Amino acid sequence: MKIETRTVLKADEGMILTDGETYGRTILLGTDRKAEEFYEITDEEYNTILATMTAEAEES
Amino acid sequence: MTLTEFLSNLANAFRTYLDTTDKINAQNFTDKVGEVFEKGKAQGGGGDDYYNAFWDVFLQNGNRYNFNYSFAGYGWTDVSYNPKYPFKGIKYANSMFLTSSITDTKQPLDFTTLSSQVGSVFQGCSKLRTIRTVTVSETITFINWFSNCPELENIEFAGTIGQNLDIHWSVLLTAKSYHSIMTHLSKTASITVTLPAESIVRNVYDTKFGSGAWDAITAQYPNVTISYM
Repeated sequence: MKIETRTVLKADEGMILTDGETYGRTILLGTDRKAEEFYEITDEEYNTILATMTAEAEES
Repeated sequence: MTLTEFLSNLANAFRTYLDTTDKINAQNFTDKVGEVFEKGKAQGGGGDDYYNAFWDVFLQNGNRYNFNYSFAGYGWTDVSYNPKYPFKGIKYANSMFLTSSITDTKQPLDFTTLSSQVGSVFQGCSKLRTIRTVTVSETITFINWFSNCPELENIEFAGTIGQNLDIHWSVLLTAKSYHSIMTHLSKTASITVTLPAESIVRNVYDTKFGSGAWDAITAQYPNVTISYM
């Protein structure tokens, strides 16, 4: 019998996890993803990124 | 003017508009209003004729394929937006409903014929509650498709989701909507689906489908990274 468990990453309070492309406070990793690919940014940094992305989308 | 004169004038008006010389009693006036209305529609005076004429032209009798910004802007509401054809054969759909005020897409949307990647399809639809069947294929990307759609409750997918999907702004999604997203994910592609907070998703899904149901459905897609905001 083979029991597979998937890694769950949880951001610290006031932080967001990202791999540079996707963002989340809790992340259930796919089996071919590694925890090392993710790092934390602050909520403030995330909001700045989000505002930039939204502005770019509306301009395009 | 006496009441009798007023009623007599009304009866004369009905006879004129209905093109008849028949006697019309006051107790039949309500029916006659309906008859005048229907006759007006049949003669091209508005109603269904305007509806058909506008949507036939706007959607090119169901053959329109370029929907870039076609329903973008706050001016599109449930009153003005009432398409009579399903959206199929779509080639271009960039910002198709960007910041629209509609609550319901009303017709299915088939994106499998897109000729290039599109973004912001439903972005900023602050009142949108229901997206009818969205048919997609594995190569379609979803860049900003669902950004800032906070009222979205119902969405139904067909086909296969093979690219990253971010729908975390929609915190009111139903269990059926989550189920539709999950059951249309690719079984092989390494993709990320970004959803609202884990507590919201679990509560909604497990309440509908039973304790442990969310864990069970996510376990069927080990290739998919689930990100909760």
